[in-house]
Amino acid sequence: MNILRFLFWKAVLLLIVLVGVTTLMFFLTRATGDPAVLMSPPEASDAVIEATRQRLGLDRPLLVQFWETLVNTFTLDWGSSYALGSEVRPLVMDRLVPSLSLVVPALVLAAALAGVIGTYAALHQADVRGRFLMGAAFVLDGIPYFLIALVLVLVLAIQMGVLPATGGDGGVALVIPIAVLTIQGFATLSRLTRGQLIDSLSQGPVTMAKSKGLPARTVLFQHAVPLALPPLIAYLGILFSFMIGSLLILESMLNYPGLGQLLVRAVNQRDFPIVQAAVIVIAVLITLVNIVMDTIVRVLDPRLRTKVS
Amino acid sequence: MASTLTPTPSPGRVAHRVPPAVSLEDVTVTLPRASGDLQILHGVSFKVPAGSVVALAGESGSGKSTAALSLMRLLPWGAEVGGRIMAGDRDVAAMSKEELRLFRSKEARIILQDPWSSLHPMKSVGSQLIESARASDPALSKAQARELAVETMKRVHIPDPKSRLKAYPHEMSGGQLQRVLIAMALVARPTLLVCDEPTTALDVSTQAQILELLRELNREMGLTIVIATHDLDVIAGLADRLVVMYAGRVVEEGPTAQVMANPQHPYTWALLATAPKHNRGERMLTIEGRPPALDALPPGCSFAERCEFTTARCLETRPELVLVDEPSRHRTACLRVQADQSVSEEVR
Ligand SMILES: Nc1ncnc2c1ncn2[C@@H]1O[C@H](COP(=O)(O)OP(=O)(O)O)[C@@H](O)[C@H]1O
Ligand SMILES: [Mg+2]
Repeated sequence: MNILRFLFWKAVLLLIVLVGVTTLMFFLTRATGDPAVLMSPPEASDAVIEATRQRLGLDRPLLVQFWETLVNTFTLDWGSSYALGSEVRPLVMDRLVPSLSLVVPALVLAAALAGVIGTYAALHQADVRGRFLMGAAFVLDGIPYFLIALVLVLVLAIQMGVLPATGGDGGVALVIPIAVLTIQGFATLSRLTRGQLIDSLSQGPVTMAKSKGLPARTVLFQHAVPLALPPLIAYLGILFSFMIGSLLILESMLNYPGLGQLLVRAVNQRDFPIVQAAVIVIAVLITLVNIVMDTIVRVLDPRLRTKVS
Repeated sequence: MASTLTPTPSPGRVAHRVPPAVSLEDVTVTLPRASGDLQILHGVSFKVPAGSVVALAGESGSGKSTAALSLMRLLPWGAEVGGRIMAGDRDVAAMSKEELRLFRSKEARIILQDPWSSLHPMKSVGSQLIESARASDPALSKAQARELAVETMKRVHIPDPKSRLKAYPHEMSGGQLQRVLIAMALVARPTLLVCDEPTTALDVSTQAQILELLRELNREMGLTIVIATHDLDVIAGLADRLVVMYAGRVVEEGPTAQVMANPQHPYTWALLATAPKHNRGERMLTIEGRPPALDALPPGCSFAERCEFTTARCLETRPELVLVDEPSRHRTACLRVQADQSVSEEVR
């Protein structure tokens, strides 16, 4: 019952995000340029521009246009690209899967690596090994991801020639961008994991578990780790949005056919329908992932499930 | 009632039924801090005879919890412990990991100070009780452990124990949590029970019930109990011996009745004088002044600056713990007493 109410409010949140982003994009695109001018040939006369304006329905009252845009957002009718003339929806949707096939594996890999290394570093917080690992993570955390990408391209593609520098077929094209995102996510997540675990290891429930004479492994995995987990899971949602953000530059750099590259190109060409659709898809995606993470946290932590009065 | 705690005789249990005498011998504890190490215990010694109840008393910050935790080797990570902590003829510090695990699971249990932060917030009370019972006796099936948990919950007066098994800690009151913690220790049927302020979270009548229960466990089952408290009223009817701590040291130690009737150290005297015997509403002790900071202990007696009998010697010389009564091993650390002037006589 409680979880249903929780999901209901998350659905409301999603709705608000959709309406909010659509509104923002609607006014932003109109504030930064006149679509009718952009849609017309460069040396078009005023009459031609006016004709374009009427064809696109841009001469109607703003509120009418806004309502139509809103309805279109929800009916997934996102219009046609100014630059390409083709329909926006398939254009954007075709880019979704390639982008997700970078972010999802990277997120899983980063979480797995950070879980193992962060836990190891927490348990060896005073040793050279634990400190070295966290020192390395700290340094990695300070390097911008596009530099990491550059180095990987230089080493793997240009020096060793094992991978193509840009593009490439199928799985090969995924390697460098996934590696970059994984390294970027691992750097912060492993340090966060270590901190959370060190913190939970000194908390009452863990002392309690030790005092019951439970085996060290039980104390760690059944008592300390669950205590440390909720903020880490919530952070995965944030990391997801960081990774999507990184795609804008990463995909353009590596010439990878994803949403990021599409969006950057569309912005450069002032192709507003595509910009609008891509931004909405990204916003919905990020919101959905965060809802999933919040739900997991809620299921894990009974304190959030029952209301305490 | 005691029989309800022994439903299933199981192998591996018998060997541990003899309660060990416990003793701290000149124990020092130093905790690492970012701003330099902090020594919390400065040579604490006391004995807990098998089957007896010993109370650690003192204002908050005097080191009672640290002493209690050190007994079970549960001090925070990085703590340095000196001296010897003996359970029977075994040195707790020298136990192997497995020995220590068995010592904690079967023999010595502790009820940590703060009931709100001791139970695991993400596990049901029942699962934690069952886990505790099975840690002590791996031969117990889940169902047997559950049955034992329910019986033990009844024993500590938790109403409707069967349905409470499914509750999570945040759904319970402080008093209930405290009882669950006690039940959690008792399901293991330990021979040594360390209680750190076991009654602070409780209202007066519950307090009395819990103390009665501890007394019963001690008398009927021979459970050795170490109880840390800042509330002397708790101790009076329960403890055989009283260990008074101040600023990380023992300042007086002896049989409860004797120490209470004839306190030797001015701190003990002040502690007794301010004990809210008939004023339950105000439970904080109020002795003029504050204990010295642990990282800036004076060279002489730590209590000197709050003591009305302070002399020049007190500021320079740190008093040793010396016997004031041979047969009862009543000891105190006060220069006046060592000069043969009983404080209590002079005050009266
Ligand atoms: N984990 C810790 N880190 C730093 N200082 C601590 C820690 N635990 C206890 N102390 C300090 O040690 C002193 C004694 O604490 P404690 O043993 O809890 O005393 P009591 O139980 O008598 O109140 C206090 O001054 C306290 O601040
Ligand atoms: Mg304490």
